[in-house]
Amino acid sequence: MRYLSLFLTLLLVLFGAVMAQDKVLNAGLDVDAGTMDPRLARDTSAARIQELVYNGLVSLDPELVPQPELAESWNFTSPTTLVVQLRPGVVFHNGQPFTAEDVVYTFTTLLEEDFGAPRRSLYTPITNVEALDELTVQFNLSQPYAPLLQYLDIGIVPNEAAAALGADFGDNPVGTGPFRLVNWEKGNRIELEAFDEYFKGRPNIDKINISVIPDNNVRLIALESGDLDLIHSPVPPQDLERLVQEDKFAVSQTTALGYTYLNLNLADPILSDVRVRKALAYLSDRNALSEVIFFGMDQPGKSFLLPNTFYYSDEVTEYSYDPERGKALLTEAGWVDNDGDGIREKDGQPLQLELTTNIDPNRQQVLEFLQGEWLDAGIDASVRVYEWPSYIGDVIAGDYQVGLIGWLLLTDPDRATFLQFHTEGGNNYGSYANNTVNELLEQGRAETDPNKRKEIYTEVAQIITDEVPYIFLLYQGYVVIHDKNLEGFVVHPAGSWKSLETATLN
Amino acid sequence: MFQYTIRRLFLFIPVIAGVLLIVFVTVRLVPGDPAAILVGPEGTPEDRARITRVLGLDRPLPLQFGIYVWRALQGDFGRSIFLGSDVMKLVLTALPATLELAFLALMMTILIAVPLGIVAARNPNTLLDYGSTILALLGVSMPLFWFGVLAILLFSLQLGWLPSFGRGPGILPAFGTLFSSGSLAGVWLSLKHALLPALTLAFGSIALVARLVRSAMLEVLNLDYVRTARAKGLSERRVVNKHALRNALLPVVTIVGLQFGTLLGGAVITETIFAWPGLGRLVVNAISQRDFPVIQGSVIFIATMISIVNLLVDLSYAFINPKIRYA
Amino acid sequence: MRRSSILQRLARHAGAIVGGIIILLVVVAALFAPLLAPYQPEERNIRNRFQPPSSENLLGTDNFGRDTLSRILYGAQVSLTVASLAVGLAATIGIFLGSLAGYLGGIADMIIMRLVDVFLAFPPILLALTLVAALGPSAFSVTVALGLVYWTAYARVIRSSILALKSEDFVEANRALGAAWPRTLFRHVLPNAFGPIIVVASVGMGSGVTAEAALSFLGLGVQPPTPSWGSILNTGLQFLRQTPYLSTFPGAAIMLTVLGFNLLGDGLRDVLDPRGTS
Repeated sequence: MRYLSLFLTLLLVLFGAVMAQDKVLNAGLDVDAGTMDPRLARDTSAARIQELVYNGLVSLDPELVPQPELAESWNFTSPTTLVVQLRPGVVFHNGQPFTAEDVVYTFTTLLEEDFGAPRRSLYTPITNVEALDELTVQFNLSQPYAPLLQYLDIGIVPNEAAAALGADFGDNPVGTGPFRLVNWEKGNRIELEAFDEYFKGRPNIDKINISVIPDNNVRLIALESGDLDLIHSPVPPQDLERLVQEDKFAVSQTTALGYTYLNLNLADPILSDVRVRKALAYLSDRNALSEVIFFGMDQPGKSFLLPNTFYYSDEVTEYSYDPERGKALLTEAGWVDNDGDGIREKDGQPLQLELTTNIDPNRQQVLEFLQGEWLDAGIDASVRVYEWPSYIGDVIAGDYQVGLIGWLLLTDPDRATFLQFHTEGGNNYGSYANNTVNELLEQGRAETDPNKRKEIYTEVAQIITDEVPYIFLLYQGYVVIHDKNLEGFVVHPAGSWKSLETATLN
Repeated sequence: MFQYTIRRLFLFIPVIAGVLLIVFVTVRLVPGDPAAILVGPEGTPEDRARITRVLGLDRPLPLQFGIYVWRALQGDFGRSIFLGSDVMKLVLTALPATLELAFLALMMTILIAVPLGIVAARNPNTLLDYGSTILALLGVSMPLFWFGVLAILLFSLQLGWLPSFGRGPGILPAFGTLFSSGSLAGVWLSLKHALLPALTLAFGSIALVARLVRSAMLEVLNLDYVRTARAKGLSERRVVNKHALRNALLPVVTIVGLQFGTLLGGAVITETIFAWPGLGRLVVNAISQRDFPVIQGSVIFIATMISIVNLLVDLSYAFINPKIRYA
Repeated sequence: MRRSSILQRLARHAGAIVGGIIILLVVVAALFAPLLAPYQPEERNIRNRFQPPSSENLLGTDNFGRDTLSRILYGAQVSLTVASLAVGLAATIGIFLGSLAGYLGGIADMIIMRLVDVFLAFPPILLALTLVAALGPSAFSVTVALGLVYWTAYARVIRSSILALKSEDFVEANRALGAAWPRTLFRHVLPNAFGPIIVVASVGMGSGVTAEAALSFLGLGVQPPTPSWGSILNTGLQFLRQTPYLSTFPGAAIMLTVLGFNLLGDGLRDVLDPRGTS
């Protein structure tokens, strides 16, 4: 009898295995992940994948509030000491249990200079991390650092496996996440498989195949012809309208955690005059940019405080499109067209501005659009679009006048401001300097009360608006298009695919 | 002949060295710092300096070159700055895809170009001649990326006949499963994947080969023994197939061989459009990211293959036509 | 073969005639673009964008409401200029190095021919890509890059025609008279190698136009708002699904022009070398 039931069970299992079709999700990306080592990840593709393969101590919900993940709870025992209680019973894909040592290892290596972590500077206020017991870690900080919790979403790697593999760990990732890597053809294809012992329960989706398709048109055609089930930004904005109307697809849009802006180089003699900068702000029709080029996908921008986040404020003023006011400001600054050639000049020098950006069809169109507007106002505007590596090199070197750039993944207002506007900030390419702003930014970094921080950053935003080192053109939009067979996918402003751990595929 | 081969093989060394030197220097002349790209715009000057040091890019150029050559001679082509993997591994993973595509494109070139050339040669200076010439030339005249996207739009989206991107299992591996499991599905799928990219790639060579076939055929058809064959009353079809074609094709074979080298290196655009996981796409990505080790490794690899093919073509030419003397 | 008989034969070659007519039309369109174009190529009208072909805009309007016909006409100027200057540069480099190799022989020949081998071992588009990246994308750098990529064919042609001439008497005689190298080059070598050079150049014009378009696709061509055919086509492709004609017309312009150059080149080859053994 025992044998019979065993036999029947076996038969049932075998039969079930034959019957059950694997639920495979085919997704498309524009570029491959550079690495699957979360400590070394820098591109958005790597960020997307590492959220599926690993877990952070926290995860950011769509409102960007840190939620417990591998951490069960946390507590600032002093402004510079954070104690984190870890979740018990979590295992890595290789079967090893997750412990405090793994957390210590992850952050210690991340902070090592020679390890080469691209985002190390986000973590440098951490002096060291220590394991208090098997499931408790303590972060010791050199100074109060409010954004720290936001950055603890980085994936935790297993101490022993990562140390043993060294530089090859990025190719052979081992995490605690809902999916584990099965196969990776670099630059082409990533195959993930549901992890049976995932601590939140095995995902409903059995397999995720991610294909890298560089051409935007082809990626979209692949979705529409059924070869893919899910794609996300960059999506050609002009195609959205059509896709929204199709029954087959679900199109989700949200504001991304990023803005696209004009970086005005304050070291430039023309742009050092705040009246010229204000004039440019009045001459830039943000509503038209949003509608004409982005078909509403990216929204008109205002300041670095992102809409749909806790820190957004209506109080900050904005520059509405007002070409007459812009022209008046240019005249006031001494730029007048005396020789009637349509271009203003001052002290015999024509008002020449070069707008630059990297190769990107939409960014290129933005500059072409602004060029037209500015030409009408008597500015001899020219456009130069070139490769990202050369472009970012010039921007870093301060070798530009008006640069169109974007900031992404701004999960905290500190990340959108400190390095950009602080005199000592590493990304203050345009040489902006204001002592009040410096002080406020330092306060904002150290302050732990969100409401007080909101006041501080609102004040900074107003000063930045008045002094115009940046012209905030657009709040970037984030779009996910997927087959309606996929249910339960939650669009996340950071572009996270994390909800695939609970989504179902019919 | 043997001596000539040996000498040509020795001449490889300066050619490859020249390729390496040009690549090594130009990629470093190109503005754009890998460290800056690696840390992204969010990186601080300290981050960039640190990464530059970790990558060894702060050393003097001649020293970097020396280190690179020394390691390369031992088979170590370094690690990709962006993908983290061993360069040789990346190149060898991408190679089969590129070879497969180039080989299929070569087949298509022959299948399309030879009949076009023969038709043209048999009807010289008629509408058929001009028609087939123009047909052959259309391929080389078309911007390939435009054709590629249009073809995907038509065959994948509108008609649903072909997959829209990628390589599928790959033809050789699919033959493996054919023998182990008897399933033809993989081979079929791979061929469907490869059809459009191979055709797109073939477009570049069809005109050249068709033209050669035409002129070689014309020449042979006017030779004495063909005339004799005709005089003997053999059918024109028999004359063409039996006597003319065989002789005309000898020089064509060598040119077709030469085209193989071009196809190997010419797949840059095709691979990008069709998301084909080959060497061309690897290099283009590497160039756009200033991934020096990958650019160097794959260009040396491609250049060596092209040089080998060129050498083989030269040798076969000498073999076919013993009149050519090599002094 | 005398020049006049070449022209006569060319006039009887159907392919060459068709090719020649196409080229002539395109060149005229480029030269008289300011007269022919109904609008300025950069004149925008956002409210009038994405218009299908109509009596006001014969080929429709683009994403900024610019007139596609006007842009294609002005684009002909840019594309033909880039291609012809690139061909000129390639021919100059190739003729210079090829004649040095052929004339001097020995070590110089050896070095120059290895240099040719090195360039032949590079996939041309990759080399062009790297060079444009080094110089920064612009019409100028596309021209320079294509010139540097395509010089080898000219060098080979010139070298072999010098080697052929060397064995003939009149150069020997000239050398005996102490004629300088440039003099020999211009007096004897170039006139004799004129035919094959023209063939290579004609086909090279076609390659130049398509290569510029290919570089545009990779983001490294002539930069907007300057209208080159490559950049117009590439912009048009972004709107392929909404307004297909935005890419159809520039694509067709490129195709037709390149076809013209190839037909002309083929015709020239047939006429100059009737047995087609070159």
